[in-house]
Amino acid sequence: MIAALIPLLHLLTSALCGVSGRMARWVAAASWAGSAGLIGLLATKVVAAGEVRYTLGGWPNRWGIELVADEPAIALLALLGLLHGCVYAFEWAGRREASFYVLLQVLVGAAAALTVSHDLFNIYVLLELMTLTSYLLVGFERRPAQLWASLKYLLLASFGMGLFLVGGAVVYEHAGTMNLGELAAVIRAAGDPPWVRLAGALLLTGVGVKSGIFVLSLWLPTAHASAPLAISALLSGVVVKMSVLEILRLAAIFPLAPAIWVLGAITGVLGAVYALFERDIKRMLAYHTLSQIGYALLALAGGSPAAAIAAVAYLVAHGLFKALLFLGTGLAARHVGSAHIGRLVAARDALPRTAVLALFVGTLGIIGWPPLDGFWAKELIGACCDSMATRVMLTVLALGTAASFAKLLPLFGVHRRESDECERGTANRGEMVAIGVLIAGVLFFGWSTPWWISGLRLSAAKLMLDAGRAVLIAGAGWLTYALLKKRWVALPRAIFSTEEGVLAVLLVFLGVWLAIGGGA
Amino acid sequence: MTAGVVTAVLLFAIAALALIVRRDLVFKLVALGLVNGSTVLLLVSLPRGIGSRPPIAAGAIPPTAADPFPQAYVLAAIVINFAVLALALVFVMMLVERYHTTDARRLEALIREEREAADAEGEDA
Repeated sequence: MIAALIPLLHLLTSALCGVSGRMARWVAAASWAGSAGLIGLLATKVVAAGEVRYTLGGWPNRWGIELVADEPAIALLALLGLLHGCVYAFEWAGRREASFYVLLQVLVGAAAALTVSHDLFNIYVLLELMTLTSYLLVGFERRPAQLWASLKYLLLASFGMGLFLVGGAVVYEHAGTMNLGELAAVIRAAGDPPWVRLAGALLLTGVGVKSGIFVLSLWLPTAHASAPLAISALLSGVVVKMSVLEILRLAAIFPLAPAIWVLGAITGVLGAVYALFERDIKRMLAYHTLSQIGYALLALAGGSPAAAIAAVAYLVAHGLFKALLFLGTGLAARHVGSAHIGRLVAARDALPRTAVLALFVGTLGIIGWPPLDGFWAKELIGACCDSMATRVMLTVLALGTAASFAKLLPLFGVHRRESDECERGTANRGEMVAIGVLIAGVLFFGWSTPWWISGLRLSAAKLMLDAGRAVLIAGAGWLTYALLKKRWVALPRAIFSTEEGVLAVLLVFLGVWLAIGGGA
Repeated sequence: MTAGVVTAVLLFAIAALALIVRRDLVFKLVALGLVNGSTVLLLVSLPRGIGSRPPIAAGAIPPTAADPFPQAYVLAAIVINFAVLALALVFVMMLVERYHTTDARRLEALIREEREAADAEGEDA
C-alpha cells in the first residue's frame, strides 16, 4: 500500500508544483518530507518482514500490477529520497522556475515506482517516463550542447527500448505473463527453451542502454556532463541505478550471468581509461559513473542473493560519493565559471571551503579509502565474489579509479600565502546542508550496513588487511598517474556519435545472445 | 510465425539500418518512429493474442476473444512514443535555429569544436 503511495504522492504534487508558481519549491519540499516519512515507514516494514507485496486493485497477478518492496528496492528508495532532498537543498537559494520542480517530482516519482515494480509492462512504462523527464532536465537550460546531448540520449535510449519491447513480446508469446514472479515460475517449469535466451538478451540490452554500460550507454558521458550540475548528481547518483536494479531483477530470472560479467569488466576498464585522460571534472565524473557501474555488474554476476545485495550496496555507496563529487564540482564551478581542472587549480584559493571539502571526501570515498563508504562496499563485494577473475578485475578497477582521481590532488594542497588577499567564495546555507548530509552519508555508510544487510560477517583481521591494501592501491594509483602525466593520450571520440551507438547496441545484443548460449 | 511477425521484424531491421546510415536528424526521427511502429505491429500480431472477437464479456471471456493484454501494452507504447518523438522534434528545431543544419555528423563536429575551444581556455589558465 505504502509502496504505491510514494510515487503517487510525487506525481500528484508535481501537478501542484506546476500551478503554485513561486511557491513551487515549498510544495516540492513538503512533498519530499511526506515521501521521506513514507519511505521510512516502508523500510521498517521491509526490515521486519523481509519483503512487502501488494497488488493494486486486487486483480490476479497476470493482469494486475504487483508491487514488491524488498531489500534492494528499499536501499535504492532511501538513496533516492536522500539525493532528492539534497538536490532541493542545493538549489534552494537558486529559486528555479516551477517547471524545474514539476520535472523533478515526476522523475523521482517514476524512479520510486520503478524500484517496487514487478512486471515488464510496468517497468517499460516507468523506464520511459523516467527517461522522458531526464531528457527535459538535461536540456533544461537550453544550451545547444545540452540539447544535443539530450537528443543523442533520446535516440539511443528509444532504440534500446524498442529492443526491450520486442523482448517483452517474446516473453508474452511464450510465457503468457509479464509478471516477474510468474515468469520465473514458467521458466523453471519449462526447463531451458531457446526463447528464454533470446528474450533475456533483448531485455538486458534494452535496459542496458539506460544503465551506464560503456558500449551501450555512450550517450551518458555527454548527457551527464552537460546537464545542470544538481541534475547530474541525481542522474548519475540514482537514476542510472534504477536501470541497474532492473538488470538485477532480470538476472534473477534469465541466465544472464556470463554476459553481465563481461559487460561489467568492459564498462569498468573503458570507463576508467576515458576518465583518466579527461581534464574536465564533470566529464571525468560521468566516465567514472560508467566505470563504477562495472563494479556493481561484476558483483551482480556472482549470482547469489548475497552478491545481489553487495551490488546494491555498491550502488548506494556510489550514489552518495558521486552526488557529493557532482555537488562539490557544481559549487566550485559556480564560483570559477568552469569545471576544468586547470581552471579550478588556478583559482584554488578562491574556491569555497565547502566545495574543496566535498571534493576531498568524495575522492576518498570513490577510491575506497578506509573506512569511507567505497571501502565498505568493496568489502561487501569481496566477501561474496571469490572467483580469481573477479578479484583481479576489482583490483584493476580500483587502481584505475585511484589514478584518475590523482588529478584532483593539487586542489587539496596547502593554502598558498602570497594570494592571501584573494577573496574566498562561500557556500550558502542550502548548499552547505546538502553537502554536509552527503559527507555524513559517505562517512557513516559502513556503520549502517549491519542494519539493512542481514547475515553479514566480516572478520576484523581481514578488514585490517584490506584497509592496508586499499591504501596501497591508492598510492599505486597516484604513481600510475604521475607516470602517465607526461604521456597524455587523446582517446577516440568518434564512438560517441549516435550512428556508432545504434550499431554498438545491435552488436552487444548479438554478443550477449551468443555469450549466454543463444546460438547453441 | 504469422505474416505480421515477419513484417515487424523486417521493418525493425530496416529502421535500425536507417538509424545507422542516415545522417539527417529528421530522417533519424522517422526511423525511430518506424522502430516503434514495428514493435507495435509485432505485439498486436503475436499468435497468442489474436482472436476473432473483441474481449468484452459480462461473465467468462469467450475462448475466441482477442487477448487484451498486448493491446494495452501497445496503447502505452504508442502514447510514450508520441511524446518522445514530439520532444525530439522540438530539440531538433531548437538545434536547427542555432546551427542551420540537420546533419548529425556536422552538428557533432560543430558542438565538439565549441567544447574544445572551452577546454583550451582551461588548459591556458
